[in-house]
Amino acid sequence: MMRTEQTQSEDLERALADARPTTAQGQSGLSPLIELAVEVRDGLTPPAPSAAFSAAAKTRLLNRWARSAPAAVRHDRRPVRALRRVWQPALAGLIALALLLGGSLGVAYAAGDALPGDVLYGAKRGLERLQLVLTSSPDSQASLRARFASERLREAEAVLATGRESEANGLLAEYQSEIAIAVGLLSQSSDPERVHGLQQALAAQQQALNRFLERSSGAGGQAAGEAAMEEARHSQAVLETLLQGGNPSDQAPGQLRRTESPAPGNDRGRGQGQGGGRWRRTPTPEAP
Amino acid sequence: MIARAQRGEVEAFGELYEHYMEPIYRYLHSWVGNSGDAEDLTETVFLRSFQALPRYQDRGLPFSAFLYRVARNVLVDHHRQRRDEATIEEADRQGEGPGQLDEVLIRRERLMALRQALAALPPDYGEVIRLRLLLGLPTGTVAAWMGRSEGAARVLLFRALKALRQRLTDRDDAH
Repeated sequence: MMRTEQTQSEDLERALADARPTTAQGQSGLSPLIELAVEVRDGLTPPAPSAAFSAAAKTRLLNRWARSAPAAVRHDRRPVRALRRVWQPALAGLIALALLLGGSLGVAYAAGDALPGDVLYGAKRGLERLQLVLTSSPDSQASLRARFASERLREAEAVLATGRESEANGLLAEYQSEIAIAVGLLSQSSDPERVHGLQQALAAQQQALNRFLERSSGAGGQAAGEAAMEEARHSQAVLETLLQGGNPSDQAPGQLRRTESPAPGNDRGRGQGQGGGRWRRTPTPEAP
Repeated sequence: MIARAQRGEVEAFGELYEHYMEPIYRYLHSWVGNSGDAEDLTETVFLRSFQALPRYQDRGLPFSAFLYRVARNVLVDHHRQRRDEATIEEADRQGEGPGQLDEVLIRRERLMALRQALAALPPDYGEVIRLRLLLGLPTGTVAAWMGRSEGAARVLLFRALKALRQRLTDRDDAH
């Protein structure tokens, strides 16, 4: 009996491996089960998440993590940080010397305006990573992240103008991540000037995002632009809360989000671009 | 990537999220049946996973199996909170008649019957159908997630489909 069941389960596996299994493949009375499997698969397969949700949720999670990670890993990193203080200035000096001697400063300067696909773009991103490695204070890292965000947005606009929309959308996703990290780092900062500076930058970036939305023709571009716009607005709200001395955890991830009133048994939509609904506060999840 | 995330690198978290978000979202959607709850639960799963990541140890299982376990726990909490609400919804659905003999309604009725029969199966049966058929995961992944051998996962799917068919037949006979 068990042998039969095992053989039948293997036959079923083979039949289901086909994209569209047919009843003709059914052996030893398997046809009804194959038909049922196909019916279940076709009828109940859950949809993929929306692009807007994917981007927004990623930003919220990274934002949250950027705020909590430094405290979480501080203990582990203390010896490394102490070491960094000693060798970082020396390393920075060595690198600067090497750049000067090798004439690489010209490359670094020329790479500043490079776009994805350009020969110097890799060098540009490499220099950005190097700057992050050589910067240890959260305030300075936040400034760097904010500058990189602005750069990604500028690149996204330029790349969109050349018709490479999917690449531009990817750059916008990077813009969102950089903004989220910058805001997360600033939420630990005691420097209101820096917070205010990023807030002003975000206001200007919203104009650039509006231009992006106007010029983008595809659904993917619209979703990416709207998600980035939502991130910029949300970040501004977080920074405003910080400037007023409030707790930014009220904004992320338990921020106000628009939801449709659920109907029993029915799907309910959510997210930007969906009218109606009501605002509700998503509960901040707890650790297990 | 996981080691980098455990060291606190934010970019590595982003990469893990990009890689695993869709299957986790779809798995949760297969249980809750609506996008809003699936989105909230997906965020909860990743937040809890990231918070638990420093304690995560690679014991030969794929990282997706760790995420799946967190997702199961999140679902248990969710169903516990929603138990009363679900009972009311269930009662409402049972009160619905067969409706007009219209193709759309018949199709909707059939899907509802499938959903109800799937929800009423023993947990392991429902789970293997969700993972193998609804998410389209390979048998090897289903086996790893469920902590079984591939042969056992295949037999489990076979039995689950038989049980599902029996429930549907019983329901048709009752009508």
